[in-house]
Amino acid sequence: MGIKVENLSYSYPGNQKRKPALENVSLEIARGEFAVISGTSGAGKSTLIKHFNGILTPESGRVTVDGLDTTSREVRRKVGMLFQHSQDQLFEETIYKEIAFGPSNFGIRGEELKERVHDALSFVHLDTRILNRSPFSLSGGEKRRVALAGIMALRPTYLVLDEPTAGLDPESRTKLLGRLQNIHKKGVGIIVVSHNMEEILPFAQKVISMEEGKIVFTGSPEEYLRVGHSPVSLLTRLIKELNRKGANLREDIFTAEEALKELQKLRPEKEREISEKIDGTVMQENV
Amino acid sequence: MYEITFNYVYGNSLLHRLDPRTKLGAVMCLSILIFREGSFAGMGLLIAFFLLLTGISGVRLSFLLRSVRPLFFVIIIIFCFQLFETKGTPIVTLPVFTPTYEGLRLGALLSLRFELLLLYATLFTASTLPSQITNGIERLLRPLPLRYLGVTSFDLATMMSLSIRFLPSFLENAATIRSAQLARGLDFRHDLRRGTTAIVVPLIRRSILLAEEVTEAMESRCYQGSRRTSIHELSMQKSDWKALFILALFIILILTL
Repeated sequence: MGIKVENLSYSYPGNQKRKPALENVSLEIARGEFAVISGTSGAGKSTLIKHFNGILTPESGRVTVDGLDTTSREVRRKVGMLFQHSQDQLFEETIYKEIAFGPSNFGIRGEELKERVHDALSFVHLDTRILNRSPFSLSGGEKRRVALAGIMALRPTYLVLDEPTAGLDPESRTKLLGRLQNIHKKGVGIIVVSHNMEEILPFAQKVISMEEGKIVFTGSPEEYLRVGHSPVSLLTRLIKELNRKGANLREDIFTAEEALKELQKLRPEKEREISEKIDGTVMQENV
Repeated sequence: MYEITFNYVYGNSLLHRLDPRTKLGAVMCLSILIFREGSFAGMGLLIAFFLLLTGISGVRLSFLLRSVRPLFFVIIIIFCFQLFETKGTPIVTLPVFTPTYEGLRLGALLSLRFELLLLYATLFTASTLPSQITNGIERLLRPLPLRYLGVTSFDLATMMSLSIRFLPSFLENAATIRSAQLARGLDFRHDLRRGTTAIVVPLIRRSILLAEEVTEAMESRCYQGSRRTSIHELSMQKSDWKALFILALFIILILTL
């Protein structure tokens, strides 16, 4: 069970002479897992996730979701996918129709459809009073929430999001990440493509790092930090800097609580020693 | 990911190096010739001339033929229509449609005409970059008193080159929106009308917004739409005049035939 990718290679049509977008990629994401896919632009992240719900089909290799081949239409319903610029995909006359578009494509009608739309809307904290308004009357952030609701109404087993926090204000980011955590608790597998490891690592169970169409790392967030893959968060940089000054702290930490616990180890004499050292360097630098 | 070169083939042949205005003028003259030509002998000459130019350009003939293939179907319909609908001496007598000798002649001429027009145009775009074509058109329009209509040839040129630049991002947007709607379970086979709306509405919206962004970016870089100079100002070379002279000879040859 889960999403299984075996020896997947893919080149975009008409581009065969150039490097393939994906080269011999294999990975497994378990059901209900929270996975993060990271990597620079052009590393093949977006190409990879498009294979999860069969928008792209493998040139060679195999992709299965819960044992189903991705050419099966059922996979589209199982794997909900929210793309970048999701606010640009809206087209219906009303928000109700917009959210109902997905489930109705899979033949859901009547009361169940209505229930799904309302559930999805309350999930993204939008008022049911807006259901009859045009989606174009909403702000950018609200449009994105409607787009997310449109995917959630499919009640997917896996939710794949491509850069979901890009361009959001800090408050909306926190809210969105909280929402993702909530769905994850309900047993939905979450797969996030992100550059911003700092904000996403605390939620992740698995990190997949890609470079030039290949997977260069798969493992837990702790391992990811230990191996020293960039980009490193501010917290990791702080701990690494402290270690350089003579502290002996774990470097695989990404939550504030854990960091606090680890930093308390330094008390009392070590802390003084280090802070003096730091003060010293700061003074020197100021001079 | 998306590169639009139309069907430009990189090269440095005489045909590639000619001024775009020379080539534009030549294509126009040749098109008129093709349309007024009523004899197979003349057509033969035009075909020979085309083959000669293709030889000079170094573009493979198969490439040119391949790029006009999509319209082949239309040409066959035109041919059949002429063949069966022209009145005259029947070739064989069939119950409903009767092919005639006059029809055969007319159909062959017409389809040859279309095919040749397309081939000349394809040869032109294969040996001239879109930006060069724009440049050429701009320079040709410059003497016209367009400003009385509220536009200048520079505006037109900017519009043309912007549209060409826009195509790749337009296609990319279309692909993204298509993926997004497919992810929401869109099925074209099931409902084509709805499927089209689901892609066209967001695409048009996005394109207009993008155009707005580009306008603002251009204005913030002080674009005023006034006369602009070009880094590669076009100038007619000796080879251009020679080419035009040869073209004139060819036209006279065809006309006197």
